[in-house]
Amino acid sequence: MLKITNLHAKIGDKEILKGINLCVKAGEIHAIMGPNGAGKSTLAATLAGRDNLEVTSGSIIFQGEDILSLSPEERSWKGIFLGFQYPVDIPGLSNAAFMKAAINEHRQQQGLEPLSAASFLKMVKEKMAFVEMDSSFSSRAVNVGFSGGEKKRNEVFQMAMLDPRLAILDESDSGLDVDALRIVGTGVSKLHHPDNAAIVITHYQRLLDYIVPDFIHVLYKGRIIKTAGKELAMEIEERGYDWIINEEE
Amino acid sequence: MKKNSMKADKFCYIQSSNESQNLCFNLQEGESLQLTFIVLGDVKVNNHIIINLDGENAACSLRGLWLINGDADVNFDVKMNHHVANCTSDQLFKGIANDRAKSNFFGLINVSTDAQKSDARQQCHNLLLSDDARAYAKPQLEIYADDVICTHGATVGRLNDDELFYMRSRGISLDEAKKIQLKVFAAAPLDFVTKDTASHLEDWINAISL
Ligand SMILES: Nc1ncnc2c1ncn2[C@@H]1O[C@H](COP(=O)(O)OP(=O)(O)O)[C@@H](O)[C@H]1O
Ligand SMILES: [Mg+2]
Repeated sequence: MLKITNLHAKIGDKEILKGINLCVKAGEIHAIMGPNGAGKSTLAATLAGRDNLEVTSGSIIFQGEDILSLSPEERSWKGIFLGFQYPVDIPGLSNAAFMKAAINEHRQQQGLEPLSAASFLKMVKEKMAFVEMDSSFSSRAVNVGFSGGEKKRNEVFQMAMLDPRLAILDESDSGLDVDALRIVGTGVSKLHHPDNAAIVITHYQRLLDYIVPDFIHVLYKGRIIKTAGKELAMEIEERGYDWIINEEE
Repeated sequence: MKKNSMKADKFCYIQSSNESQNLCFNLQEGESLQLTFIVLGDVKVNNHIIINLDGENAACSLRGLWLINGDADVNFDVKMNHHVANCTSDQLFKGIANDRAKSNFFGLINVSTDAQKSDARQQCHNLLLSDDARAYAKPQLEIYADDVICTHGATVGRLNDDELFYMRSRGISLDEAKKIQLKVFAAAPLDFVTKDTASHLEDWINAISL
């Protein structure tokens, strides 16, 4: 589904990604771990097409197509979803209006009519219930005044609405209490099926109890320095990253 | 200068040609007034607005929205005079400027010695869509009473990249994401206008080429 080859990217003059290789097949879940500043969010933003960074070499092939020249919205239409580490608040725009605009552009791309108001509302209700959000959140401005946990649940709500092929979830578990973690964790795992895939960026084992990864990669200074099975998360939880970094150097 | 006097009134001025408004309203006890100014397009407009709050418990709300382009030159000169106690005034002006359009907002709030318990608020916010567009906002306060609430704020900004990227990552096209931002920005000063006027403005925003 996704093949990243020797990806280099910089922000301004600073090279952040220094040769990333990653291959994700349909049905798989990959976890990316690594210390702060390693480049995890930059990798996520590069996949989603953020334009404040520049890819200097390498390629990203998604479902057989090089997506580097595609805009963020085109990548979304093709099924890429980014769950933000820091979801953006948009004062004045209701959650429902936001999702309506998104869903209808997706449908337009597929040659479908806009959803009727009734079907849209039904869908919103169902997906809000899925992440245990009160339906009053649909009329509230996007992420404005939401708690940390509510913002992350709102990301999973949007993911459920858009049903992506590849979800990249950037620290969906940071700043969550136990309940929110359960909701986000079970939510993401229920959305997983053999035709889609997920890249889960996290610092903690605890999210991976819900979303069991097939692979864990450790990103450090813009490179993947170790790849292993799910047991690595436990080891990192106990021993930190230093031993892996020392092994590498 | 036109002089008006009324009990409670509401006016909306839509200015899409080079015609300016020179207005002076004197509000007597308990009277209220809501004025909305909408300035559209490539126009040269000099508006002078004087409000005298002459009777206690008078209330005045001013709203302004300019959506301007080309070589538009839009000037607002507002004087809000609180002459007596217990009056309220609130002003909200927002501007969106494209091309080489420029706007000047000059807003004076004057609260006289006797005008205790005045509540005077003023906001002016601008969004520039091009490198050559300009917006100046100059609030001025002359407060001679001590027991008053008086607030003001002025900003000049551009479209927000983080919001745009967030919307685009959900599949909302760049053009649509920008228009959503403009509509959200322009909504607040339209709280007194009719549905027809609001939807006319939405059409206007949809037609802006970005
Ligand atoms: N907008 C930016 N401008 C300059 N440097 C940035 C920007 N965003 C991230 N960086 C830098 O890139 C590096 C990687 O950051 P990031 O991808 O956020 O790491 P992580 O998500 O792994 O904590 C850091 O050194 C960070 O300071
Ligand atoms: Mg990060």
